[in-house]
Amino acid sequence: MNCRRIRKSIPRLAGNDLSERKSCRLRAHLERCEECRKEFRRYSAVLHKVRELADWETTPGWTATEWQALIARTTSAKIEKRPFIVFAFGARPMTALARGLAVAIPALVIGFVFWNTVLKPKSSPAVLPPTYVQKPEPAPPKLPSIPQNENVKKEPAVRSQEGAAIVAQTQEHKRPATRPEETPGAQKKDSQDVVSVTLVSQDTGLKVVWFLNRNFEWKGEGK
Amino acid sequence: MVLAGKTEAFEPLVLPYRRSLFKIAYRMTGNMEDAKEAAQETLMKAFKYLKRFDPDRSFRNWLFGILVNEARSLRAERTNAPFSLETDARTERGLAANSPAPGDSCEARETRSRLMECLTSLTAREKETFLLRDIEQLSITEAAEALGTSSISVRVNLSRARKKIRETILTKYPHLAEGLR
Repeated sequence: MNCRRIRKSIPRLAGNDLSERKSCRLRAHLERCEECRKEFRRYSAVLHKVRELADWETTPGWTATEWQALIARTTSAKIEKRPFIVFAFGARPMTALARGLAVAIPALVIGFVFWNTVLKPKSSPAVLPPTYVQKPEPAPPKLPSIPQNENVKKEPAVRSQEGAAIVAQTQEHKRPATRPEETPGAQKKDSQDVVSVTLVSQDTGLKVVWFLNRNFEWKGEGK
Repeated sequence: MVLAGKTEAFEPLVLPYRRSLFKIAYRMTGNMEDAKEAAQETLMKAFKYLKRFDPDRSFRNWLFGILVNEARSLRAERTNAPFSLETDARTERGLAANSPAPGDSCEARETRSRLMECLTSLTAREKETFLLRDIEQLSITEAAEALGTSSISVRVNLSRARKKIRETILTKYPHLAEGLR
């Protein structure tokens, strides 16, 4: 360390404001350097003198009466209520910020997990059987019901009735798997049990669904 | 206790700092009028905002912090105020207050003027730092807390203040510096 750098630190050394390590290094230099030692002594003496002056100084303060009056006036005022945010998180801004974050981050994580596990609406299955999907349609005017005869039931083809095109749609309903104890030795078969035929009138919007069994016998009607 | 409603407990709380508050205020503002005003405002604000006081901190530092802010705002008011009869009268009263009081000894008055003269060479920040650290003997950390600055800033201001004080004493009061050279 050279003298120039040492002299920069001497005011702080004189007031004991340096760390232990640095002051040891400086004192070691002062032992060697006469000029720096003198400078240090000057600073120490000046500081000592100023403190002495401050102790000597007689500053007129409040008289006893003034003091009592001031305290009475002070305590007659209302104590301000502590704001909730200061009460909850502390008066110092950085402490308040740290405490706020410490509360907010876990709360957000818990909220996110709770939303995903409990509150989030379950998504509908990707593909629904066509029979369950019903588009809202305006109520069709009442029409005379279509006569139900055997031919129509057995042949659900596209037909024309009273000039209106009727679109037929066939849907398959699979039989639930038979339990082995009910039909022991029986072959598992993915056979078709019920066939539905949907007839839609393009003019009137009337929609009729017929249900037929595996032998194409009419089982029922729906709308 | 004060917060529980016992307002009479406030006086014992601030009594130990009665003299220091006034002294610091006087050295910061430079006249009795402003010192009195700043110290009074400090006590009133300390009482009003007592609920904001963090018990983990030192009450003395908190009180000194309020005082420093009050002194700063008073100084700003005086600096921004246009020259008027009122400020003129205040200065007159301040001068009168600094001038010999009947009870003061000649030596005491001289000491006061010397110290004030040394302090006038410092900037406001340097003066605040010097007063809290070297006269009131607060630690660097406590002074930084009271002044609302960092320890580094306190160290820098302190170094400058000590240098300036040394120069002032050596040039203006060489008789005080006898044996220092």
